[in-house]
Parts: sequence; C-alpha cells; structure tokens
Amino acid sequence: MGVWSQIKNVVIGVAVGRTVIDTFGSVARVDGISMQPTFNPNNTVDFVFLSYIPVRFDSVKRGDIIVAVSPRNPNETIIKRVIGVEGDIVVSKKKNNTSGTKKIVPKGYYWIEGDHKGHTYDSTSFGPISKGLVVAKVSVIIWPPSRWQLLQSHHK
Amino acid sequence: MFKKVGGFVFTSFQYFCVAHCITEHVADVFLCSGDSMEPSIHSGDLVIIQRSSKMFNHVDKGDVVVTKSPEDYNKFILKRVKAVDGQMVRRGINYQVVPRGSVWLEGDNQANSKDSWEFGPVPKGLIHGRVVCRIWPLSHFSMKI
Repeated sequence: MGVWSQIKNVVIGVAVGRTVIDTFGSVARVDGISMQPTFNPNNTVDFVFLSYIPVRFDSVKRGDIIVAVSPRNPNETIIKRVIGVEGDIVVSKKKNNTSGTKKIVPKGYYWIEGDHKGHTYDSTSFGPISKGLVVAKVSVIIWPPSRWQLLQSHHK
Repeated sequence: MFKKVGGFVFTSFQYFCVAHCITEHVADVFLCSGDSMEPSIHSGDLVIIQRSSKMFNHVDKGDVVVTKSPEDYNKFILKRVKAVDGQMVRRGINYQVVPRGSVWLEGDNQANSKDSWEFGPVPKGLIHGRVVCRIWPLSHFSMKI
C-alpha cells in the first residue's frame, strides 16, 4: 500500500509539473553566436525564459525573438528574430552578396533571421518556416544576473 | 462543503494533468475526416497515433503520419510518407529531391488530395505523430494501415 501510493504521488507530481511547463514556459540555454549581440555578447552563456502562451494565441509580431524547431533537423531548436510575417516582402541577402532577391512570405509562414549577419543559419538558407515549427517566444534573459533584461522587439 | 468542492477540483486537476501528459508525450486518439486517404482510411475512422517527441521521432517510408498543415498550423493533415530525406520522388516528368530533415507526404487518393505536390516537402518538426492502429469502426480494426 505505502509503496503504491508513493508511486502514484510521484507520477501525479511529475504530470502536474510537466503540464505547467507545457502550458506556461520553461528555461533554456542559448548556444552559439548566431544572435550576437543580443545573446551571448562576450562568448558567455545566457539563459532565457521561453513563454509558450504568445505562440498559442498567435500573437507573434515582426521583430520578436522566437524559438523554433530547425527545419533541417527535428532534434534541434534554433533561436532567431522574426523579420517578416505573412504577406511581407523581404529582401534575402546571401553572404558576400550585396544585391538581394525580393520574396513574398507566404500565408502561414515566418521569415526569420539571426542578428549576427553572415554567421547564422536562417531563412536566407532554408527559406521561410511554417508557423507550426515555432515553439516559443523569448522575452526575458534571466541568467546571468548582470544581464537581467526584458528584450525589446525591434526591427529596422 | 467548501473542502469537498476544493478536493474535487484538485483531484480533477490532477487527472487532467495526467491525461495531458499522456496525450502530449505518449499516444493520442485522432478522428479522421475527408477522403484524401481512401481506401486505407475512411472519413469518420478513429485512429491511435503515437506522439512523436524529442526521444522518438523516427518515421519511415510508408508510415501514415498526422502532421500540422504547413500552411495553417491549427489544422492537422493525415498523409502517407512517400519519401524521407535525400530520396527522390517522381510524378510524370517532375522530379523532386526531398531535402534533409523533411518528408514528402502524399494522400492515397491521388484524385482528391492536397499534399506535398502543392505545398512542398514538410519538415519533420511539424509531425504530430505516427498512426499505429485503427480502433473504430470495430469491424475494421487493423494494425496495418
């Protein structure tokens, strides 16, 4: 009896925790240099809070930072900035190429790019990504404490 | 009285969370509609899908999968995987190579199916789950779809 009720408590506890995480958000580490200088400016490691709610209500805007599943590898997630939403015309510039090609972002898609131009694997290489791949919106850096800040959604 | 209501709410919340975890990470039931997969799956069939997660996301050629529609992420589509990354698909004189990390989906009912020939290869990250078996109607129960 005692063992079973304890196991039941553990299972329910894990389930409740998991549900809360799935609904509200979780904490993740930012790796790589693709979002410099917003994240990892001096090769430090930033921890950010991913909130799942804005994605669920489709309130991601131009300029927001999002986390998405990589379209080339389902086990990887990428963190990028939304440059264009559906219907926008974006200029896609490849590396070492000053003249870009104009493209319209189709319905249901986002155009995402990293802040560190030329050192990022983003929509300039794999094209626009479907909204279904977007997992979370990033709005705050929570660690290290010296870099506590809300992230502004800015775009040029 | 108040204690009783609170206890009931708390218990139902616990069961809801357990159910959420099962449907989110283990298996889910899915009601099919539309005729794009006839004759394998008819409109109104109930199928069990194995959820694809970080640990399990292996799909093979020939599997039937439920994915989020690439054009409208609130909709789900049920199609058969015709090719996985690196393989080639052909229809008539059109050739396409499926890029890495993507799958090529086609309906079994070629005459009436909106599939990869319209919206291109679908990234694996959009896959919701793999169809394991059909449970309803009971007379058509089958593990092989």
